[in-house]
Amino acid sequence: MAHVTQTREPRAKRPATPLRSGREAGTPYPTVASFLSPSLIGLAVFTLLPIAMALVMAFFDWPAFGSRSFIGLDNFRSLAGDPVFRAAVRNTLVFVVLYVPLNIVVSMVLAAWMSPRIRGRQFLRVLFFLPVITPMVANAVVWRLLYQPGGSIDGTWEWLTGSHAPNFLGDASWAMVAVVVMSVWQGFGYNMIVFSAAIEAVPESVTEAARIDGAGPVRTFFSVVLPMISPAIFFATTMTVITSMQVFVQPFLLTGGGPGTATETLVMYIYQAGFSSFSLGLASAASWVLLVIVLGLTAVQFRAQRRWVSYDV
Amino acid sequence: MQPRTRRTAAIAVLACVAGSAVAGCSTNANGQVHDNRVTWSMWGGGSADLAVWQQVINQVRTSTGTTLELRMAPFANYFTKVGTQMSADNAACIVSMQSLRIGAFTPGLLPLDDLIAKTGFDIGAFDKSVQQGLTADGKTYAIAYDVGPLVMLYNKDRFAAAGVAEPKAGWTMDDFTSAARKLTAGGKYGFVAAPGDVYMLPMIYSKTGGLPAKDGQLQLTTPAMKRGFAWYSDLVRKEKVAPPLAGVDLAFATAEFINGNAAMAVDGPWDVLSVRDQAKFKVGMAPIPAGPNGSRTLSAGSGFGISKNCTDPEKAFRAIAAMTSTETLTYLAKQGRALPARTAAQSAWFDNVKIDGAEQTIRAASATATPLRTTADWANVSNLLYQFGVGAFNGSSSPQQVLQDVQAAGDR
Repeated sequence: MAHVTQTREPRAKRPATPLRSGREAGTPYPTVASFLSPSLIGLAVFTLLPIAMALVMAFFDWPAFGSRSFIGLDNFRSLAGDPVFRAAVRNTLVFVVLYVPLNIVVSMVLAAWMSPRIRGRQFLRVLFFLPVITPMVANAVVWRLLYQPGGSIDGTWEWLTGSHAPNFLGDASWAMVAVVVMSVWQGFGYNMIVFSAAIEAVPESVTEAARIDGAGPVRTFFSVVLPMISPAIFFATTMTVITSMQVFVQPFLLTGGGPGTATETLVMYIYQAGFSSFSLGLASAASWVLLVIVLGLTAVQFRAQRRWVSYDV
Repeated sequence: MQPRTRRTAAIAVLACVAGSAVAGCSTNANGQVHDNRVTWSMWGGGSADLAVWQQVINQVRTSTGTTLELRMAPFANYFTKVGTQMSADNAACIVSMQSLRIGAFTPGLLPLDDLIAKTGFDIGAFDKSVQQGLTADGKTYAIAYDVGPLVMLYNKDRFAAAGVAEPKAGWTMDDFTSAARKLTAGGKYGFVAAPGDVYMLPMIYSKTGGLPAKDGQLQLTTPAMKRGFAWYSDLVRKEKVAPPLAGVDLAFATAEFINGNAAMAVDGPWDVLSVRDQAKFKVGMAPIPAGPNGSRTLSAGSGFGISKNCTDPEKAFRAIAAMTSTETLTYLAKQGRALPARTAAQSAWFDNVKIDGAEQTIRAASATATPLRTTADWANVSNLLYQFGVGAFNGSSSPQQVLQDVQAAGDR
């Protein structure tokens, strides 16, 4: 009981702070445990166990059928020696580097544009959010029709210039750009809503004070609004980096990873290793490589946020 | 609710949640045979497919007393699903299989030779090439229900409009190229080429005799394969008699033909009726053009096998016998399904197809077709062929490089 008294003491000096811990409020432990157990069991069974299982499988030659054998680090060695895997890692990073800044800039610009109460604001918000909620498969099929030779873009291009547009999906130098553009269109609506809400939460008194001090709209946005919504930007970039590291559907449906390995991403590699070649051990090893990269990037972001994210609202 | 009952209910729910991770809370697992019910997995979807297969189920019930429980998945995911289920010993009893992919699944399938001998099943009544395709290491793993020697479909209207003689039995590769050139005009193409296995490989085989695998080993870099693939991809790249490709799209070749953009396309009998119905022009059929060694083609087909985890293989085999009976296959042929593998049931399909040259072409092709033999890793290889192949057709990589890359990836 010693530590309970210890924690209570400082609280007693700040009576306005609400009591947060169930235990301190006198709720018995079994009740707390029973309320937590559904999500804890779910987390354990469906998340932690598979992650641990994948780590074990990564050290095995684990075919879908037949005998399994322990092979130590061989899966990781064959990943390191596989030019397709290296290309997949490179492509995924290229995708993240192109996609994340574009997504953040586009969604921020639109959120800022809509922040004054412009006409048709609600309608525009719904419009921009639509790609997020429509199934990605349908979006990808439509974009493929736009991109392909003889498709809408090619047709318009030919009408304007008399020559053919590049074969966006079939040309290795265009394919990744095409995938990124489609992904930005598909994904910016989510961050736009996040930024929109954050901008609205900036107290009007602050922006008004800036205006009185002679700041124009651009200066106000960059020097006042942007620092004040930095937690939202941090949230958006972190989540977008994580999801874009896991990009799969867009290249899978638009290009199938091709031409060659031009758009093959890490998750596509994992999918093909696991469900097309049925080498579950190799797929698990590649999943762990992805997990480590994502964890690393997220850790770097959390470390860096101390320098630029301000929570003083 | 009393506290005690509440606790019991909670424990029951928890036990079920925990148990479902291990065994599943359902009572009837796949592969189990209960009360004359046998599970059957098949690709497909939609009510038309369901109605046809329901009729098959009815016929099996009438003739054997066994009720089939159908588990359907779309073709694109079917083999992934079956592989995953087999690895968990949870596959359906009867597993539908495609000849090109059977190599990957033999470890999960039961060899049927003993059952064939025991029940006196007449395997000789089936098309030889597809039945060979469903055999691996000398063992039969499935009983064929459909057969597909690959043939050339052509757009009769386009041929007539361009004043080009229609392809006929005995036409050669030179006839083909000259027709393709004449038909390429005004933004439309004479042919459609794509690195999809069944569309591309018969043309290469006829042109140079190249085959992608031998004795289960991938051999994409043989001189015959290299020459064949270079020639075939040149139809897009240099000759420009076929449309450029965009990305991986397995339906590309058939779609370009149906929408009139390409006047000729290689396709299998399983697609012919739906192509005929969707096309707004008259469809003709001819053999694959003859190369230096005469007209040759490859065949692929599908059949029904039995998973190793099936608890009553004999009952499953009797059901398969009923599923591939003359009566059932005649019904499927009349419904416009694929060409039956049982030769006695084929006439119903020919009566139904109503395409010029169909019967003569397919009978001739069946007689000479070689089963397209693949490797255990074929699903992966055929993906890679498409994924890498696009570059060769569009000129961003050399055909030799593509074959080397796919061979290297397939060897890993």
